[in-house]
Amino acid sequence: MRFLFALLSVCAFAEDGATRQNWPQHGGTNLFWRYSALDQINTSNVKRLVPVWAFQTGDYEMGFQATPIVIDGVMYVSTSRSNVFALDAATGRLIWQYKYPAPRGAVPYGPQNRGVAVAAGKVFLGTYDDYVVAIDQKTGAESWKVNVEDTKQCGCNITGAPLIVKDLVIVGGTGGDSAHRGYLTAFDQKTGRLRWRFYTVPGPGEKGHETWKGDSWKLGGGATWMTGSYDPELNLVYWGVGNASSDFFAEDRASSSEDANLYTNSVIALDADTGKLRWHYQEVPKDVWDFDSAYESVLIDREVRGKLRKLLVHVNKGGFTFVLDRANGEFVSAFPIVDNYNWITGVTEDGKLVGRKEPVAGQATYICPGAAGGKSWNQIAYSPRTGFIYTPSLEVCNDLVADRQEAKEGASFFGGNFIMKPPPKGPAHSHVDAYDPVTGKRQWSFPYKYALLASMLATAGDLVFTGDPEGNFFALDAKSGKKLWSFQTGAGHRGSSVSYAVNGRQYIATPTGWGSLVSNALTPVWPEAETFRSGSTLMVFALPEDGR
Amino acid sequence: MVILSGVFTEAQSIVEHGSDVFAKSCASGYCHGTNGQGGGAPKLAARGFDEAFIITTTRAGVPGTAMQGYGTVLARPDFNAVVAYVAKLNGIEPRTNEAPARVLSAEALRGRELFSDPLRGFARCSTCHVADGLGIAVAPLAHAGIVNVSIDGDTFPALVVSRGGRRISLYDLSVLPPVQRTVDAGAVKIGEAAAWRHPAESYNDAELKAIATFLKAVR
Repeated sequence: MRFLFALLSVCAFAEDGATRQNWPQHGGTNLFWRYSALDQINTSNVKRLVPVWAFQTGDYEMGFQATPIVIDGVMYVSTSRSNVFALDAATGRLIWQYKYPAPRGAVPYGPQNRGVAVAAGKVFLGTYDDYVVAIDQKTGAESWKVNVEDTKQCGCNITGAPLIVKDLVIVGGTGGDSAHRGYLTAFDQKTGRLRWRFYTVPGPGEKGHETWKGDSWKLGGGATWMTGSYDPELNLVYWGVGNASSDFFAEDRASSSEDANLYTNSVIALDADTGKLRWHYQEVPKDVWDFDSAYESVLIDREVRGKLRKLLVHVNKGGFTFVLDRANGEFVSAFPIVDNYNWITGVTEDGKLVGRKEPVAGQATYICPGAAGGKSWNQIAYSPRTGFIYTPSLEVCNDLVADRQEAKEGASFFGGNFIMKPPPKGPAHSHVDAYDPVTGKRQWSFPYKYALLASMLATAGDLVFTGDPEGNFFALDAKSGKKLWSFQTGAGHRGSSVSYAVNGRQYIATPTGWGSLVSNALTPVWPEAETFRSGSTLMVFALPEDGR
Repeated sequence: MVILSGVFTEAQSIVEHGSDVFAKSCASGYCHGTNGQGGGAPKLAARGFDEAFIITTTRAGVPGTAMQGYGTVLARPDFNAVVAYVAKLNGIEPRTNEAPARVLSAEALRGRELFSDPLRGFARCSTCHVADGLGIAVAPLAHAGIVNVSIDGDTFPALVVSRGGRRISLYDLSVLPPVQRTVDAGAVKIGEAAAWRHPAESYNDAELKAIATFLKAVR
């Protein structure tokens, strides 16, 4: 008994990022494991998984990219054009819908939406015309609404899901490929009042400002277009920051300093209460490849060289996973998740990039991976049972042409262009892999002939779920990578599946519906991409009720 | 300098304006690329397109692709200008070098920049006001009637925008940016005129004068 207590108290210290009955946050929990501790559906019975309900939203433009949130048997899911639906998670019955009024005029980046956040009796939504809206969780009535920036002027909007931290709702935004200066903004959940803002590009007098040339900081990029994580014990909010602008042409913004253009292409850790920077780690100094660090930060506690450390695992668009100490931002290790990379030859043991291959102004430079990323924004998962992370990788390269461009606020600001190309040997393809995040050792690899652009979901049934552009939603054995089950959903996958339970029955839910900036731009390497189907249907699976 | 929606700056030709609109709405590497050289979507330069084809495609889009119709999305002058620009990319000179819709003086242009100056964060006119297509329509430029309201024991200055029998909609002006709150009528107490002062401290007198010049010019 004493031994059991000792064991329990040890476990209590390790952070638990698993979800159970609910899927309460965008990444599962604020530690962003995308892992469910439910094991009713497992490797021995997954073959019997059947669809139990479907919900067609009607909002198919730019695909169905969301992560549903499930709390106490109710699912909250957003679609393109910032519409929100509350559904009975066991039956798919519509409880309420929130139809967002269509904004006047064009919006940058598109109307896609990657999910809502739920807390304090409200459902929070970032909109495609750059508002944050709070909706009553019970009735679907609008409670408050606040504009983050004038989308007509800034060339920015919100496509990512908000993050709930204590009594705050924190939102990032797009704008990294426009002439725009990025930031994170925190609002009060109850009143919508501004609590803090952190600019990812420091202004005059602030530390890091000296890493920008002239006035380039004013429209220097650093968009925060995906969703962050939160460690309650350290009270730190972690957020990935996007590329410096212009994307491919750096002469007008890069100083001679080694860590040019802070805090673009960095993971930042902010004090949750004040929004003040505690530490940063810049993965790609002076980015010239559009290699955002905007993706999710997975927070895990693991032993490294005999010492238990609080880690942050972060995949960069350049196809490298960076492992950091999340208490202080110290570099722990880095390893590639793509086979084809030539923008650098590697990362040293202390985190320095070596052998940079930069695009040249006015001529095509062949770079791997491409600007769409060695991984797109679709998210990785972590299973504490296997100790592995599960990553979706793209083996696609591109010809980059850098070109000086005048910055005009809100206008497209790539500073050149890219054309997707296959890798040097063999056709473009993708793969799901399992890695030990501490050693960086690949455990298994599941190859696929087109682009895998849906998130990974890991469960305690030792399954990894994801979907492909041809419409298949499938389960892999988390230990071996063997495909155990597959179902044709009728439309391609670009969203994030989740697991939850109602009345003791485990469900797996996935958005279906192809479409996004990246998925719409794949035809140069995959002419078959013309046949990948759009749509917007939520598909939900479970084991048959009789004889689970 | 911001891209002007439906407005030409001094001495800007229709093709130059179209180039600005194109850069903002069409030129991403995911779409038609810089100067229409192609990206995820087809190249548009030197394709031998005629004007009618450019107009139809720009207006209606291409069904089944990411190319949406811009006929109702772009303001008319922007639409015409972007068509002229793509036509020019295909060797077609604009039929008229349309006279600019309006020319703003240097002082008014400076005022326009200040009105929506991004470096001031939320402390800029366009956080609450619209002029010349810029900004967020919280309140008209000349507005009185800020009152104190109480919700859940929290009293703050507010601008009431709609007052139905069941729901009341108002802007909370206690901090910038203003928050639009929509609450049950029974849950809000509307009081006397508030001792609220219009915030303008981020601008000096010369800047306010330039803004006034701009507002006069576009009124």
